[in-house]
Amino acid sequence: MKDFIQKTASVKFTKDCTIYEISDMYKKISDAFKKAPKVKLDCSKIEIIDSSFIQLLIATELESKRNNIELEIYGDFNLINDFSESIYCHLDLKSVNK
Amino acid sequence: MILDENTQIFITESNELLDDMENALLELERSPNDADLINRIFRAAHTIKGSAGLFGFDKIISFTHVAENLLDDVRNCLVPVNDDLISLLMKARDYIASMIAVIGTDKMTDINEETSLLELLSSFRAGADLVTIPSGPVAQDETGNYSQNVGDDGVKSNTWHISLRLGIDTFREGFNPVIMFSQLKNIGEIVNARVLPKNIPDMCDLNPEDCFLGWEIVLRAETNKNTLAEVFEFIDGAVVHILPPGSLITDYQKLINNLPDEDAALGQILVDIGTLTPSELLLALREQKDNGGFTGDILVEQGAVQAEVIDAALSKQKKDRHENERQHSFVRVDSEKLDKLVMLVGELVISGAKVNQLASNRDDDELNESMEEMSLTLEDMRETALGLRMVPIANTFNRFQRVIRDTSKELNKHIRLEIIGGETELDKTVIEKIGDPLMHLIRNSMDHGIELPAERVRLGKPEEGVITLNAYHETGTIVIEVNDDGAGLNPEKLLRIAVERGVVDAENSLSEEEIYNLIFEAGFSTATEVSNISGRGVGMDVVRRNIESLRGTVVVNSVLGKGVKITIRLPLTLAIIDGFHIRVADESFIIPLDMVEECVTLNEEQKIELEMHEYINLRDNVLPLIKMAEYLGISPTNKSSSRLNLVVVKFARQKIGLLVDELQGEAQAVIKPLGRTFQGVSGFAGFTILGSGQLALILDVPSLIKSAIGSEKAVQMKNQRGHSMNVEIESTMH
Repeated sequence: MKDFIQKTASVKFTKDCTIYEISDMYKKISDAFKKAPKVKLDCSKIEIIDSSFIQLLIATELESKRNNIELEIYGDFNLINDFSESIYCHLDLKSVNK
Repeated sequence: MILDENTQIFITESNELLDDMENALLELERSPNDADLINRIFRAAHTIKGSAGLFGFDKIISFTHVAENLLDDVRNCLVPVNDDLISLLMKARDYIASMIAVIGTDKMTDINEETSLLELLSSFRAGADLVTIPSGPVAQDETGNYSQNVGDDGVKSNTWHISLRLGIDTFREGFNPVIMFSQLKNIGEIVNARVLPKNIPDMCDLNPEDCFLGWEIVLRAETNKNTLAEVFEFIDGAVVHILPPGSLITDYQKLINNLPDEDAALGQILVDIGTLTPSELLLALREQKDNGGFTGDILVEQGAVQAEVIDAALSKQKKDRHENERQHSFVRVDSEKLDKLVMLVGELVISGAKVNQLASNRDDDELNESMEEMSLTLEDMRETALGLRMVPIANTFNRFQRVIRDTSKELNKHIRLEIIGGETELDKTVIEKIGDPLMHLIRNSMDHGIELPAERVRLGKPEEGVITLNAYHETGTIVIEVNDDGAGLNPEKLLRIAVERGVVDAENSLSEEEIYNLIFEAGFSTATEVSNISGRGVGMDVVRRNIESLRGTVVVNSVLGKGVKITIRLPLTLAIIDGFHIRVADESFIIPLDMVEECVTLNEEQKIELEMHEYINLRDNVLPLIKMAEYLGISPTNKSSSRLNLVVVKFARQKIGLLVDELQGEAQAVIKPLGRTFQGVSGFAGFTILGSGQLALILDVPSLIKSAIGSEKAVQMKNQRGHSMNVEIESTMH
């Protein structure tokens, strides 16, 4: 059983979530997975996304299932949903209210 | 330079992938149309590139990317598989291995070689990134549009199937898939589209700026292929397959095989490739729920999908499931941790023996019963811990396929390697050290043993020579045989050379086996030329020394004109053994139990024989002896028994008797090495600590046997010489 240092880790996304910010977001998510068995993704500030962000979310979703990490999305998920559906990438992420 | 743990993991895993790539390339040489092999090679290169990206190993990324592009053309059937291609990919693989080998060092790879390989890799490519595969027999109207399918070989469908994999730099180039899908919707109706998440590497391997997105798209449209192709024309690096309506079954089968390994349900696979619509699948599932039966059978009965496509999908499903199970059944463990575990178990065995001894001195039934239970558990633990170190020898044997391939080409010979018993397991330390000796033996067979093709045909042999590696267990040892069907050894020539070089005296009479084993003497080589493969005479003695350092033996046998067989015997494990405890005066020794044949108490006749000879008659067989007290230089004490005990030991079908004072019974021994000071001292394989805390040397039975048989021969020859001298004296007197 992995030793986590805290119960929940949070990742707050910035306004822009595109190829230019993707490495930074990737690092935040990767670090969060190492810290806690539950990871919250705060999408409340997101205004612009692209397909690199959708790919990252897919990878995050797969990783959480692989390692039994609970994943929660906070904030308005509609933008992400609409974009992902438009490119036929159905995300199986749970969106909760803060 | 000490590398961090992640970099070390990258190096280890990349080397494993490169090994897999090499094996797949060798198999591809024999089966050039095997799509699975091509995919395997592609995936290995792709994974190495992706992982290298995490660490910023730009040179590895850029080189592997070029190789990957060529491999992609191969798997899309744009570049045929032939000898030249495989040789080039082998070289590319080797170069990637050399780049990985220099990570963390000051060394550099050869830039000229890199440039040359990159040029060659590019020159082999087909050209265009955008590809389509030939379509089956379809009806085309005047405008070039496709309609319904025709012909028995066509898949019954009124839809197009598009298989799209975006290029790795797609994100960086600012491509937006929303526009692509929007264009497709302008052309027709997207019946189904599914992203392929399995193409996306794990988080730890993922470079988030690289694009791994791909889709399987089913589009209903009255259009032509060119119109569809134009949608993807400006997506750099994208690979697209477009299957028109009514494509051949074989095209769909190919598409099924190219799907990622996802262990998807049958229905999902068929929907993904577009031979089934979601509503058709729903109908079949409803039928299955109401009336039972298999999905595949129902779909065929309903006329929704052809049986051949079902078979291909089921076969893929089975392969994916097997692959998933295999991946989940192993855990990677640091070998240092494993060694530590085995060492701790060994210490526990010693402590257990000590406690057992103390317990046996007390008259406490309950304690003794508990000790017996503990001993059984310790025995289990020991077996399990030692089992963790056991590794199949196939890993080592398979390495030689490449050696055989490359060296055969160098020598202009045709040689095949056959492997038997690759699943045979032995201790990982032994595996690590046996590779080099085996390599040398194989190279020797190839260079000196197997004849040139024309010569083989002239001798009535098949043109292709065979080298066989055979491994099996035999009473506590592992036996590895290296056989070839080459020219064999010429005993007369061997003896003549041995005498010329002073390895043996001319008047020595040697058996055929002894003559063959002269090849292990230092400086002995019958090669008339030195090649870069063998012939310097510094190899076989080192081979024997390496094997003996593992407490093993090596023997050569041959039939002139037919071939050579080299038999290596090695202990199964170097860590813990079941031993037989004996005493000589005050000193304790351990004999490996699997080499103890029997214990004999000598009768009066045998005791008399003993005083005159270094052997006795045991059931009408001559048994050479070693009087251990004399051999070890131990003076008798008051404790020395008047009863003479003989332990008969056996190794590789040879037996001797060891004369000892006391027999103490069985004991587990954790083997500890003797240390540098005692290296070169023969007769001992290590030492152990007994339950009493006393040290006991572990006897090296093979070297004792060699010593006993050697001294027996010396006596025989002395007697023979003495006899012949007497005859000469007699004859001169007359």
